Amino acid sequence: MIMAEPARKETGRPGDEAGTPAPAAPEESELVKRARKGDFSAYDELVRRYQERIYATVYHMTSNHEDANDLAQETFIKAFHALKSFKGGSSFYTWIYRIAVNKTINFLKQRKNKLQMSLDDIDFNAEHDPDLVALISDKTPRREVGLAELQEKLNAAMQKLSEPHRLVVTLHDVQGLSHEEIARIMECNIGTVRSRLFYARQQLQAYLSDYLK
Amino acid sequence: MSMSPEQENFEPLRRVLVLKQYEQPPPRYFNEFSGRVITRLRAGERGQWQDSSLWLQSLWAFLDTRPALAASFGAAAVAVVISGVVFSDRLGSEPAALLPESQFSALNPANISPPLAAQPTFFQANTNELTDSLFKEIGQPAVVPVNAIEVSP
Repeated sequence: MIMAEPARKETGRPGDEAGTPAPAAPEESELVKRARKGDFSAYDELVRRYQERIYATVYHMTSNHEDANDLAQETFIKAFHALKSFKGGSSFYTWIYRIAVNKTINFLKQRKNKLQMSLDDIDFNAEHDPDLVALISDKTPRREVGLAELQEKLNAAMQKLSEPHRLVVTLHDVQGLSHEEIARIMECNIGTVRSRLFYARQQLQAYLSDYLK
Repeated sequence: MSMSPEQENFEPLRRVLVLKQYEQPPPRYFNEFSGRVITRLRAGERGQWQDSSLWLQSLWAFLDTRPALAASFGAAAVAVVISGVVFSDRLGSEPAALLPESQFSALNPANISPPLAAQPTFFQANTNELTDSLFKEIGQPAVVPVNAIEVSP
C-alpha cells in the first residue's frame, strides 16, 4: 500500500451523482441481466464500476493489501456465481457491498483466532526482550510524529475497534456513504448506524488522544 | 453522555481519518483487477468441466495423498480378482455342487427322454483310431548314463 492522491469519494451509485452519466454507459440492470446469462464482458463492466469502492472497504477493514486483493476478487467471483439468486430487491451496488462486508467479517473472525494463537507465542518472548521492556516503560508521549507514523497509529486504532464499528467508520468517514446506505448494506436501522458511529469515533479518539491534541 | 454525533467534537479525528483516503494500492492495480476476476471465473468454468469428465484423475489424486487408503483399495481390488478366479474354477469343475439335486438329475443323460436320446448324432465323423492319450504319442526320454568324475585334491 502506498500513499497517493486521495481516492475520489463516490457517495452514490453511478448515475446518481450530480451531472449526467456518460450516454454510452449501459444500465446496471441490463448489465446484470447479461451477466446472469454468462456474458463475461457485461460482468467485466460491473466489476470495473465497483472495484475501487469494494477494494477500499475491504482494505480499510483489514489494513492489508494482499488480504484486500484476495477478498475483493473473491467477492466479485462469489457475486457472479450468486447472480441467479439476486432478485433485484436492492441495487446491485448494495448487494455486492453486502457480500464484501460479510466475506470480510468472516475472514477477520478467522484471522482473529489465528492472531490470538500467535500473540500468545509472542507474549512469552516479549517478556524477556530488553528492548521491548525499555520501550513500554518509556511513558513520554511523542507528539511530533511523521505522517507515516500517524497513519500507522490510525490503522492500529482502527484494528482495535470491533468489526461492525470499524465498518461504520470506514463506510461513513472514509468512503463517505450516507447513514441510509450503510443501514441498507449492514441490514440494520439508521439509529443503530448512528449509535455505532458515535461509539466508534469515541473509541478512536481515545486511542489517538496523544496525536489529536 | 450525549448520544448525538453532532453534539460531540470529532473534527480533529475526522481530519486524521482523511489520511485513510491517501492509502492506495500499487499503480495500475485497478487496470488489471477486473481482468484477473474474469480470468479466474473462466478458469473456474474450465475446471468444473474437467472435473466432471476426468473424475478418474480426481480419484487418483485423492488416493495419491492417502497411501493407507490406496493400499486398502488395491488389496480389495486384488481380493475381488482372486475370488473371481476361484469362483469361476469351482463353477467349471463342480456343477453339481452349484445346482440342486432335482435340477442336476434332469441334466443326467440317463434321464433324458428316449426320443431325444435316440436321435442320430453326427459328431463322430472322424474314422481314425483314437488314442487313449496324447501323451502316449510322445516318446519316452532317453536315459543318458552319467559317469562320476573324480577330482584330485
